[in-house]
Amino acid sequence: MSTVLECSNVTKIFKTGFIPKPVKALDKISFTIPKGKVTGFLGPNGSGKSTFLKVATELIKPSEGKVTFFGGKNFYSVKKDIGFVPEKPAYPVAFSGLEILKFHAAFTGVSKQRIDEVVDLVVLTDAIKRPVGTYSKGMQQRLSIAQALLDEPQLLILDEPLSGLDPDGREILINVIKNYSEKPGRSVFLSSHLLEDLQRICNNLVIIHEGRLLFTGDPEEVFNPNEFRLTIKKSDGIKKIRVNKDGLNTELKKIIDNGDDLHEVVPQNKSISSLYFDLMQNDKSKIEQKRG
Amino acid sequence: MSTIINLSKFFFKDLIHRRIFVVAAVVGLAFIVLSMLLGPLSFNEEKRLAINFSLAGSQISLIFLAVLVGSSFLKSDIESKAIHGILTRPLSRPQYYVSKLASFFMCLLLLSFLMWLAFLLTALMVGFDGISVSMLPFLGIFIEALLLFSFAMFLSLFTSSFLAIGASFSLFLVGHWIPTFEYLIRNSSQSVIKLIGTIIVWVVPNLESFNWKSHLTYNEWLPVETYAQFSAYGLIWVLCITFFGIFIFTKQDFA
Ligand SMILES: Nc1ncnc2c1ncn2[C@@H]1O[C@H](COP(=O)(O)OP(=O)(O)OP(=O)(O)O)[C@@H](O)[C@H]1O
Ligand SMILES: [Mg+2]
Repeated sequence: MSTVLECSNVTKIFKTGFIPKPVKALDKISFTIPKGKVTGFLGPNGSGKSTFLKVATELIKPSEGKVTFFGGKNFYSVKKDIGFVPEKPAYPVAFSGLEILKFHAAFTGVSKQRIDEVVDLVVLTDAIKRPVGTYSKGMQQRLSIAQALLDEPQLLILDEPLSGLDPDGREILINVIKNYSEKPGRSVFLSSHLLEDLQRICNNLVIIHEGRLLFTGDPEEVFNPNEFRLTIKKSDGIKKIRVNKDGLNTELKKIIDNGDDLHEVVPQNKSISSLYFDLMQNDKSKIEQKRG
Repeated sequence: MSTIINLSKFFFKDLIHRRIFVVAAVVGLAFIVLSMLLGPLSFNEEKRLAINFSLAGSQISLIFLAVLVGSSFLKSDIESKAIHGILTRPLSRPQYYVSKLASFFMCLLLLSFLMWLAFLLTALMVGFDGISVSMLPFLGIFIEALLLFSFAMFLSLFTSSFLAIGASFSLFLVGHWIPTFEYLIRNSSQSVIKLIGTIIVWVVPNLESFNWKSHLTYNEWLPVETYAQFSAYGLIWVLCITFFGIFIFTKQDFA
């Protein structure tokens, strides 16, 4: 399968302060993102997601390693094919949304019609002639996505596009991302620290924690619940029990044999912290295996 | 080239929307017009005073504009992270930097022209006969302001805006003392003073070379080639500072 992004051994050490104190934000990260998928980039606050995306978009230089796109090309040479939505989109406040989009459209000769299209897509038509300074956070976010979609890029990279948005705002953005990714050959890479967000739209997942890669692959593997809560109506009242995946069949059989009434089966999602914990344990044992 | 034009147009619009631009324009123009109108113009000496005042007003407003805008124009993009949305577009960092300079160039050109126009019109109105209406003093102010702008923008890449402002005004002061240092080098008997003076003369641009105000006041002009040479001298300084600025800018992290 062809890939849209490859990175190998990406390490970033920030040195801040008068007497530089090194902070390792990324530690030898290597993974690839397949073409045509919506890839979620999951990690808790401060895990290095934004740092990685800044390295990828050449806003900062890695201390080690490199990120390439579409089979070995550096970001600079494929800027036209990549739409990027930064973590905190910011614009000169005096400009209207439309002026901003026209400015961005001029780099690649995007038509006026396309500008109207993306404005409709992100539902900004009513406000597009107003100064950006009067926009809410959600509107700025949507403007930034409109701008990233202008060129109809092959790859859309978004840094926490859903954070701080109300349910309606999230719904709009999730739909925009879904619609965009439906056309064949298009890929999305979006970061979030919320599992639920990614669960809804991603079919591929990368997880990092404290600058280290914990997992890449099929989200089913981590989202798939291991535990179920069963509500059973017995003759003497209602009973709730928890069983794990392996025990589910036996338990269901028992219920039928007993002639009880099965009321409800609810999959129990892992909490995000237990997910990180499990993955980290996994990671540690792998490292120990390698050492051993 | 079309990329630089697009960027420059955008930055130019951003610039003229800023309050500081309006303040500098109003203060400068008011200074010019008022000092010309208020000066009792019957005596030659007072006429000169009025002209000098008027030119000094436009110089002060443009120098302030250059230093204040220079120290924050690029810096605010970095601090607000607006730069993330632009540098990831199909353009290069040198193009971005040059466009910042070009947009201020346009803004300065516009203001210098307006100030010259205001000067000319008030001079005609109050009946300054026999006075030259040359644009040259305004060109001198233009070059000086451009140089200070590029210096302030360069410094703002790696210092705080506050320091960049301080250092740029220091450059302004020292730059105007260069003739004094040259005098010291020639006449001082102490070798330390000679050495320090020589270093300063070498590393600081001589801003007195762009001070052509008195030429207009006394209507005594130098040969045209001299003005061309001085202009080239100023523009070479701007180019050198910009070159170093781009060098640093292309290596920076925008976290
Ligand atoms: N400019 C910087 N200087 C020093 N340390 C930094 C800098 N930027 C980020 N870091 C550090 O690098 C680590 C990763 O930060 P980063 O912003 O990439 O996290 P993140 O995963 O995007 O978090 P969030 O979910 O909060 O956006 C953090 O420990 C942070 O403190
Ligand atoms: Mg982040």
